[in-house]
Amino acid sequence: MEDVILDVRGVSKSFGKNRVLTNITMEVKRGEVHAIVGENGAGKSTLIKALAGEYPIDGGEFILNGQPLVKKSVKDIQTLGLQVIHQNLNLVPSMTVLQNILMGDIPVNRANVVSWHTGREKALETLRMVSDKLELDTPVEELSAAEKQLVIIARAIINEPTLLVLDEPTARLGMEETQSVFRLIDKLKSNNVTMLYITHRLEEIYKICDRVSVFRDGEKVLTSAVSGITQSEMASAMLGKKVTDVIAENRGAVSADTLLEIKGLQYKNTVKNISFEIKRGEIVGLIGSVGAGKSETLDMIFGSVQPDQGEVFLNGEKLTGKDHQPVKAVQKGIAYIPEDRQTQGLVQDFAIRENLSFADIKSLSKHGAIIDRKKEKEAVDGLMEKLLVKPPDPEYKTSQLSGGNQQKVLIGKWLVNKYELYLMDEVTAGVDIGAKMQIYEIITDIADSGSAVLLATSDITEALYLCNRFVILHRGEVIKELDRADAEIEDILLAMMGGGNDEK
Amino acid sequence: MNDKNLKTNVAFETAKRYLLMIGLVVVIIVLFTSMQPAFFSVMNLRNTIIDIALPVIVAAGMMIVIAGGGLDMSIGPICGFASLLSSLFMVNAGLPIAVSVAIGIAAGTGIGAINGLMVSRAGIDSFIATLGMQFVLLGIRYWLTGGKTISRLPQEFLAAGRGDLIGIPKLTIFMIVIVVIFIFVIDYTIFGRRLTSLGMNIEATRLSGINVKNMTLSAFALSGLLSSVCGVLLAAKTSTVTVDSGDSYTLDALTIAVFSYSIFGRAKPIGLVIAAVIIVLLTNGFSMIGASPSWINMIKGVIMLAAIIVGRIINKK
Repeated sequence: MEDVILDVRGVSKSFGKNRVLTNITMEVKRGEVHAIVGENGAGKSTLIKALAGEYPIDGGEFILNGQPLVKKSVKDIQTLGLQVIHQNLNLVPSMTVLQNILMGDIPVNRANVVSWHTGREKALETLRMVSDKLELDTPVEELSAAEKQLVIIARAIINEPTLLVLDEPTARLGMEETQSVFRLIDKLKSNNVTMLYITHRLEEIYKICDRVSVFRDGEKVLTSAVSGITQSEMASAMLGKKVTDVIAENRGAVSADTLLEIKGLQYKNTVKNISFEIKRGEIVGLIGSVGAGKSETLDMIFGSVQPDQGEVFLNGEKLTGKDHQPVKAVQKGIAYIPEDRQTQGLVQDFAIRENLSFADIKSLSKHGAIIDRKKEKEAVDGLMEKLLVKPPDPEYKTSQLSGGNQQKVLIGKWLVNKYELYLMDEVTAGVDIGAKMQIYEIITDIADSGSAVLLATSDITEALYLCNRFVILHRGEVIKELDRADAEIEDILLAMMGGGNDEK
Repeated sequence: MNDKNLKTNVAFETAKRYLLMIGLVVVIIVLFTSMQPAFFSVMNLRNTIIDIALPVIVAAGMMIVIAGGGLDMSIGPICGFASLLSSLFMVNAGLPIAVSVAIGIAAGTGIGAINGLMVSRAGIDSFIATLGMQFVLLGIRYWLTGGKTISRLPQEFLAAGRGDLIGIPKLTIFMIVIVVIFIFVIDYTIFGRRLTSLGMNIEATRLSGINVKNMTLSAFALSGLLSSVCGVLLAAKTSTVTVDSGDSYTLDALTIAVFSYSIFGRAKPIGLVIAAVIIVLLTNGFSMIGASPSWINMIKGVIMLAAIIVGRIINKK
């Protein structure tokens, strides 16, 4: 008979108005490795944190080993057999492997004084589970990334969990290093440890998992045996059917004139030799995961960061050099919508009107010095209507707007006049689906009016929906360039994650 | 966020803050009058509007710098420096009044610009840069005068700081003119809009294609300009200039500007005037009921700190 170790029954969770988990119901069978996949923000990490007792849930319940987890503390839940290895969990570099393994439950002697010696035997036994080579007394800072990951796992399994959650344990590892983690997972499985395995890398699932659950926008879309689902089925479940329908209509043809040309941009070790072109009327997706070098590339084009090497040409005119600053970039027709609307984009204490008119206030003035209040009001009212900003009163303070509305204002700031090139960085991050669609419409309008858009994003759905072409970055390099017509979701997913042609 | 929370537009919020400050003025008047009936007299009110004039002018300079995201600790010394320089040219060199005044104001503005260069180009923290400048000016003033007091200023010059015009004290008229110009600059010019944004979010300002270095430079130069205007008027008001004339204005400017900026969360020239009225009423009130001067300084400090705390509470919900 099949035994259920974890029963998730109708779990819901909201942060303020934002629903992040909607009625999640799933079962994890004892002894299986169960994968959870989904895009960023699909709710995977929230589910895990709720399970571990870090967030209270609004509805539903978790039943672990037959025990309901209602209102149990993190520690209580651990004693019931759950261990979670969070994505950004770090070890203490200056301490030894032994000390790090025992860190979760520091051993003391009878006088209640820390005694690493007391736990040594058990620590060694656990360490041998994960590796034959590692030694207890090596300082952690001397280990490789993969070895550290093994120590992290050792620290979790020393308490002999019955259910182990691994949140992207291979995210920072190379191909070979990943293999050692896989071997360990197989070993744990044969020791009867059940695992929930969260990942972005679809191909991994086939190697180590038995079943997979796909999450999208806070809902569980499906659960299937791994053998019964293909990678592209998983990808389209992640991305949503509606979206794949819409993106089927390709955007119209664009002009042949090159607007922007980037040659061999280099910045420290975050951007390595990036080159590509953008044509007028084109929306180019600069795609990559966090840390791939997207923001730095935009900053170099805008002049807010000076490249170590390489050149940028706008309409054939060279932009790079000491005096290429944001002031110049704006004068030459480049608009920049930065990633962080709070600190880089909008003046939070300004009225909406003041933010909307800010970048182009000169064109709304008399003699280039005195603000023409009437012109300003007309321009702002027009934008409020076009962008459907809520509340529709431009005299409200910007900080009172929701994320989506702030994002609209941030784009609107550059729509008083037309710019030749719009640089956009994660323009829909943290925005709900309704506002997202409105923002997409605004972006499409911008391109239709003949301006070009460089859209830096880690959201593939968004890129597929909007872009004519994709430039895919991985660790600071252009790993692939694709036309919309030739692009398959899986190709982009794989390239983003550093895979691509040469693997498999 | 619910709808109730969104029911606040910026103008409404500002109006509430004006009411708060005016309410405070009323409370102060009522309290002191109950203890000392002479407090509410034409004489004391007239003194009040004279006494706020110079502090408001320097506080306007400080407010410009604060709006641009900095602090100017050299306001008092610039004020004294301009005062001294103008007087020296008038008394010792015998230059015409207008020329002497122009030299004093130009020099003070120049010092402000040097502050601005240190902050915007050399990247020195504004507090440190202007504190350094304070000591430099102290030295220069000793060197120029040898520590002696300058007096015997021309009568025509002294007339500017005394008496009334159309029934209003002349110093107050200077203040009103400056406040009106200040309102216009802050609320109706591109410079004012950008300055306001600079102090609230320098990165967003820079990424909007604004030359933030030049904005910072201008803010300090303007502060220097207003400080030296104050210095010249101070010489006319007091008729003697000493080596430390004007030094106390740094603290006055700071108290008034910080008070107003904390409450409104942005540069509001009228807020400056009300803040100055509050400070002056308290100062005069305490001395009229016979409190010692050390008390009065302490009260100023407490008011400034209280305003910052109240501002935090009402501006960050």
